[in-house]
Amino acid sequence: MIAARLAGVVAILFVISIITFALLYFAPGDLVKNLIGTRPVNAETIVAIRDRYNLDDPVVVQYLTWLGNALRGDFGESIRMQEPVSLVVGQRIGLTAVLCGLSFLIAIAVSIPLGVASAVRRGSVVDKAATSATLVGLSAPSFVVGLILLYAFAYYLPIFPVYGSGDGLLDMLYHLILPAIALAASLGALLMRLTRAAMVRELASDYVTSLRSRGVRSREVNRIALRNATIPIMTGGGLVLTFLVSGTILVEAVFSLPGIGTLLQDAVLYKDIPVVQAVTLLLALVIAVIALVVDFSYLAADPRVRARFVGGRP
Amino acid sequence: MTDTVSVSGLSVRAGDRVLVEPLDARIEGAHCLGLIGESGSGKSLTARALVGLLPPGIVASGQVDFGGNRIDLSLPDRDAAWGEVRGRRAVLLLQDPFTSLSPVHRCGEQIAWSFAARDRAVSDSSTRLGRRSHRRYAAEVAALLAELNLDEAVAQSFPHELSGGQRQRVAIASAMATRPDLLIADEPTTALDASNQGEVLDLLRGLQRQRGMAMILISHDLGLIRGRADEVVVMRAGHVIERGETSSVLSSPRAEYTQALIAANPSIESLGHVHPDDAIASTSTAAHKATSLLEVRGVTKAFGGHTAVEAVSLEVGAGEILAVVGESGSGKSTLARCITGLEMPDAGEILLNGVPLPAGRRGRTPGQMQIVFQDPYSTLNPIFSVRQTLAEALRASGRHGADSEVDELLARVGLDASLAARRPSQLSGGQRQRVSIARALAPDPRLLICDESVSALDVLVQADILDMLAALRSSLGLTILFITHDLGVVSRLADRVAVMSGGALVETGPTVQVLNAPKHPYTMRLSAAARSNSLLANQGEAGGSHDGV
Repeated sequence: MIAARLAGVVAILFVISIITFALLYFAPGDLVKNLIGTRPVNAETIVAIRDRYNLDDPVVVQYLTWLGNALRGDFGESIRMQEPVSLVVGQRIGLTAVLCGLSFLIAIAVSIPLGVASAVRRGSVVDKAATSATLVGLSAPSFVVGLILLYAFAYYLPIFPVYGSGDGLLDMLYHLILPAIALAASLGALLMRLTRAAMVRELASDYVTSLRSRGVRSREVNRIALRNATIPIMTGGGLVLTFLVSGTILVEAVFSLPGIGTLLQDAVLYKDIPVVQAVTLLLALVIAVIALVVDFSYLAADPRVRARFVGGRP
Repeated sequence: MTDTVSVSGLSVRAGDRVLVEPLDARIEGAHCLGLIGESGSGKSLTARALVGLLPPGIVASGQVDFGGNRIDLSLPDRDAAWGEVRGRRAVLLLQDPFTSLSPVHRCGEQIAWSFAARDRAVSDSSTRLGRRSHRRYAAEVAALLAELNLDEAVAQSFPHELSGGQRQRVAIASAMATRPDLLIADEPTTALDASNQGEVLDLLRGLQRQRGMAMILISHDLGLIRGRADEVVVMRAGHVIERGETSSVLSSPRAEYTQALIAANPSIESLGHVHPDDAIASTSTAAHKATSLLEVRGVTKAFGGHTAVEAVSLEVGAGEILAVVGESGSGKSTLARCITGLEMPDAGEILLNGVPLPAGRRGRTPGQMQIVFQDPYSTLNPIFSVRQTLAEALRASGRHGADSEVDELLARVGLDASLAARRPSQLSGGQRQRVSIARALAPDPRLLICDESVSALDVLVQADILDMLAALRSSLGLTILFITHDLGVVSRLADRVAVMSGGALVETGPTVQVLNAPKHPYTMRLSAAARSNSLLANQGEAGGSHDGV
């Protein structure tokens, strides 16, 4: 089963690489013009450039050339920066990873306790306030949240820096707090709703009635119910976790952070196919891995799934 | 011996609607009060009101007194208000062992939670239930499991690894662990198989007596209460209809309603008396030899590594009612699903009128056979009116679905044509099940398969529907394959019985013969259990001394 899943991931990556390559090939814009810019043009330069990037080959050959190199671990050279793609991506991946991780932690730390509290005290002030707040988080795009945060906490109240990524880990964390909150808003809102719905269902179930009639305290009952609710929370949470990966592109742009998102944005505008290909595949791989991890975490969370997986009686 | 529990003026309301009229009761230690009623009678609400666990929007009033400690039942649902009562004074044991245990925690830990709650209530300390703190109670859990005839390994098992009977014993253990004055058992064996019911109830009754606990035993089944409750209260629509000593209420019921309940109780013993359908039964058994409508040959079906149905062969004669009996997990439902094509058998053949049917649903016509499922609440499309549901079924079988056809179907199942405009949510359980039978009758099927079709219904409704099915057989010449775990239902309806156990067919024969002179050990046990729980069994000593675990 694991082998089948891994094969599926490889197949998906393959299909995605074809689609991005084709989309970029058919997109308007000319790489030659991008490279030459405003400098005077002569025919020889154009021929040289077209030759260097194999632009005269049929698109299928261009793709196969790229695929052959990629399979050997060579993702080519960034056309715009004239550096190996692996180096360019490597320089920027750390920031994006920290940004995503930080915003994931913020989302979990806020939304799960809030979801539990709302479910336990349904209809209370806490529940109503939290539910309305999630409506904002769900409907406001992350770049709008980002701009509002910038205005409020970097310009009006200058507590946080306006842009940049800082030096060293601590300074970087400090610089990333506002972007991480902007990125966490929609994910956290979804997680809170999921947690609330799952907890409401668990708290209405028979085993909770049974526990309470046995005199087990509410705190413990909530903890036990939350343990049961992790299964639906993980299902939904795993799916929306991928939002983070795509949301980082917008947030990095708003906060001018030199991460993977801005790299991808620039590369698309410049028709820098090697970079776009590599970053898209990287993002797809991350999403596939997240999905895989979520599936396997069921094994840890649910003994019934574990029993089916190991085999034996259904 | 624990304190006497007395309830005074317990009533339950939802807004202005009174769901349970003021009720008084007094239960001494080691005594058991039976609370009898159909669904909607208010018996479960009464149970929940005693521990302050009513659903939102429903409030109780009145008082309960545990040996001098008076508790106001109208208190809001807070730890501070009810901490004194729950666990220490009263515990609720719920009906369904499949949902009343947390599926992701080991059984031993779940029992340990009760011990921890009791210790905290007694010592009034604020020790938290740490992640591993349940280990402290390992010895106590093991002792309790042994008292309930459960293996020590059960402590390390997850609920899904246990059978229904084992799970309910774990639930009993977790209720007993707090040593309450009062145990409120709400239909504690309804979800179990016949062979398990008596055993679990006797165990519960034994422990309760031995510990001197008071008990309220709630049931819709008078047969289960007999010999197990000292006193009985019969409820209907929130009112107490009749109360008194169990044996006298059962032997000489005063209220008409109680009499009707007793008469409707499906009882295996009715076979001993003159069976009104004997004539039909014998003629159709003769007919069965001449023409068999359905023939199943060596059907096998496995899920994963588990064989659910193993090489089952049986025949159903035209116009015959064959009951397939077995406990849950015996493969009877899977067999029905293979016959109807809802499941692909791994091996074997299914013949209708001597012609092999294709496996699966492709290539079949609705007129061949129809199935009626157990749960009338989920089997109908909730946004369709009865008329829409039936018209759709009629059109699916190539008819017009005209209003007159719908009315005719409704009349056939004894429903008034005025119900056609209603949605399922506006119908009672019995009415819904009649609609689903009408839907199954729409294509004029040769064979009707009923998969536990009356198990979810109240006794009186159950009896009506069984009578209706028998009448349909006579009027339409319908052949019925009836799947059930209830031998009382079998003896009321079936001409022949096929008994399944562990996926295999262990015994087949005429109903009278199989129930009165069972040959296979499993059938013997089933029959003995059904007899001891039956109302008409000897009224002297409480029955339930059957063996087998």
